[in-house]
Amino acid sequence: MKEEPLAHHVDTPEPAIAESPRLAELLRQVARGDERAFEQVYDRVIPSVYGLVRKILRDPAQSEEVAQEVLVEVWRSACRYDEHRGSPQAWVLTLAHRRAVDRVRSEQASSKRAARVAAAEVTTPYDEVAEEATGRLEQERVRRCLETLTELQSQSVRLAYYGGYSYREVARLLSSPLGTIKTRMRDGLVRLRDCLGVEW
Amino acid sequence: MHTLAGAYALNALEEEGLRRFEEHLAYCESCAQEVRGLTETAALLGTAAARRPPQDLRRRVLDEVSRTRQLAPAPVPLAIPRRWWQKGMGLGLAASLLLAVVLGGVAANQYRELSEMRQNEREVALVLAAPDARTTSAQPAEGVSVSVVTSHSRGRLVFSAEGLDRLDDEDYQLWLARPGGSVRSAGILAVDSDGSARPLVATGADEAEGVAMTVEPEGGSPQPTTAPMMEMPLEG
Repeated sequence: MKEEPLAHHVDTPEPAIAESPRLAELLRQVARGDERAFEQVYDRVIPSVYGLVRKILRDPAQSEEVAQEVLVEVWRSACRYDEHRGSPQAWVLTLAHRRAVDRVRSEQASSKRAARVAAAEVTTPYDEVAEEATGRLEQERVRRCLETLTELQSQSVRLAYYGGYSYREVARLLSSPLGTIKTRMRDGLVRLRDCLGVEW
Repeated sequence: MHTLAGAYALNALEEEGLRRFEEHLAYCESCAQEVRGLTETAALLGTAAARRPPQDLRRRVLDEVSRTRQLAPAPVPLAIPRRWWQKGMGLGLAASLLLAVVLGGVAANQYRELSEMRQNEREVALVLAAPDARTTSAQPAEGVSVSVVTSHSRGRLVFSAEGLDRLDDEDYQLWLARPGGSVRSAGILAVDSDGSARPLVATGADEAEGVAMTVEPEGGSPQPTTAPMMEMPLEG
């Protein structure tokens, strides 16, 4: 098996487009049981995974636990990643989002959950974007594009993605009809997609 | 249903809605396409949330990984997206391609061959499922039918044939005709005992003006050495 010298390790941010085939290649090596390749995958994806999970769960200890589960899941199921169906980043972050949201929703009945909802209503969780980001350019781009959304689009998208709320909960939080929220989530994301120039 | 694509990409559907939407996705190519784009978009929201992870997380993850068994690759899904039917492709043709793929999967029992075939099946499925897939078919001889599915977006074409005679020490070789009159080999057909060729995936579909098939000495030739038994122009 080919081993990459450590010095080869790339830590300067490359443009996202040039980066994705490399991550896909690393995942192929991981799928063959290559732990060295996994270390590189870890280094690449952990800031986004941890950041996203932390944003949804807020609690640092829980976030760490879930981020660990996600990365172990990446290791276990690397062979299931199909590059024709999406980018490696999206695959990993979808896993991360699902895990974090599962955790949140399993607390559904608990008082913690109630407190979260209350907090979301009183404070404004909408405009918190990560402070210690590694990919600052990307962050800035996303922030600018989020600003092109209408208020309701933006809130629907953020509450669902960063807050981990289901669309029913979002509708309740924003006191809007379900149908409206469904539509806003979709046209909000479509506008973001076009603004960010996503090609898929 | 379609309007749920956003909520789905944001992982905001609850169990029942999720199940129903996923069922719908299997039939609705335009929804699946949209979901892919919106999922990539949502992932960028995730990237934008990046933050420095705790120091010792790396060590703990690597520890656990070294103790964790990996999953075996999933069996290749032979289930065919219904969208082929809806794309206006003839049902008969789609069904025969499907049959070829399925039979191919069943007939092979040697592991290595199987894994090569899986790769092939995946590539076949990708071309057939491409939104711009175009079909050209012909009956070059009594009882022989051939069809080519071309996808420019995938840069590939899939050739399949039925009703071929089995050859003893010769092979059927497929050629792509390129502008300017040159031809390039697209490979040798594997013909099963029932006379059907396993679907052959060829790259360079974008510049192929047509396909041709010749009979060549076993193992194929660098350039055609006999007159083509079949020639077919491809629709641009």
